[in-house]
Amino acid sequence: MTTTSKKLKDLRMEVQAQKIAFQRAATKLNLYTKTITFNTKKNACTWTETNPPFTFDYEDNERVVVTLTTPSGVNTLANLELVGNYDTLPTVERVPYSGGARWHVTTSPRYNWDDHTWLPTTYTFTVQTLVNGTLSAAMYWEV
Amino acid sequence: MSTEARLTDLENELKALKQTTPVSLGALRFPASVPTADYIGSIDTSSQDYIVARLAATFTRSDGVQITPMVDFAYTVSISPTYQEYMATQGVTITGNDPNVNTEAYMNGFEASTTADSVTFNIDVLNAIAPYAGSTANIIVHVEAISPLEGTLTITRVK
Repeated sequence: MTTTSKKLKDLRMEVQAQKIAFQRAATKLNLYTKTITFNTKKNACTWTETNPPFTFDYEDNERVVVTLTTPSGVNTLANLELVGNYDTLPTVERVPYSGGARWHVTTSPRYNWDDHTWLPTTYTFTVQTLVNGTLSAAMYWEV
Repeated sequence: MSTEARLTDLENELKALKQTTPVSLGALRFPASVPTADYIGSIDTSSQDYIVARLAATFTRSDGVQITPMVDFAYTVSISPTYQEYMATQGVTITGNDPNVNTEAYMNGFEASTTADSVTFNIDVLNAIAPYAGSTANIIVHVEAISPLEGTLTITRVK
């Protein structure tokens, strides 16, 4: 085989390989689904005045940090879905995070209205991601 | 240039294209670093508007291809003084697990518009942060664009 013929054959193979790669990429993008269940903890706060002395304890809104960590540490396109027994619609913000994806999910505390005792909010978080990883959740002050 | 040399150039060009393309063998590759943009300004905390500030962040792909890019936006809004800091000036000490949650969570981010090569994401700062802090507060809005494509990120205040 002449050098030119060999080059032409190499080129044909290269073009064929790229065509297959692009077709596969367009039709078979990997999408990974990760799910976790999480119970909130009480955001216990205290208000203190000194003059006149006055103190009271209260529960403030609960901010949960949901984190997808990718093994390679790259950031990724990802969507967070959630269901839960919250009383108030949560706010969801994707926040900067180097190593995958991270969201803050915030809602008001939940109560047993019969005796006004605090109750945890239970979430099920599902993340759809283009890069595989592990999903975790924690209260804001625990991260 | 000989025919053989031209063929070699073509082969090298094809191989380079394969190396640099963001779509390869069913996986998207993400750059190690992401474009960022910051806005520094102030808000009128006595405003009666539901939205006291709106920032528009625009990611524009830089490869010249006229296809709307896939991109996610991540952001934070920092407010100074914080609720805790302001209450301290009023003689009230607030302590607890997450005492500033109310002033740091009342933001709303959403995709607002697209063009052939860009996506614009709006960030609203809501007036739930306003009941404290006198008449004005300083804000810093930090945005990052996560995309498998190279591009630029800008931020402007529209309200």
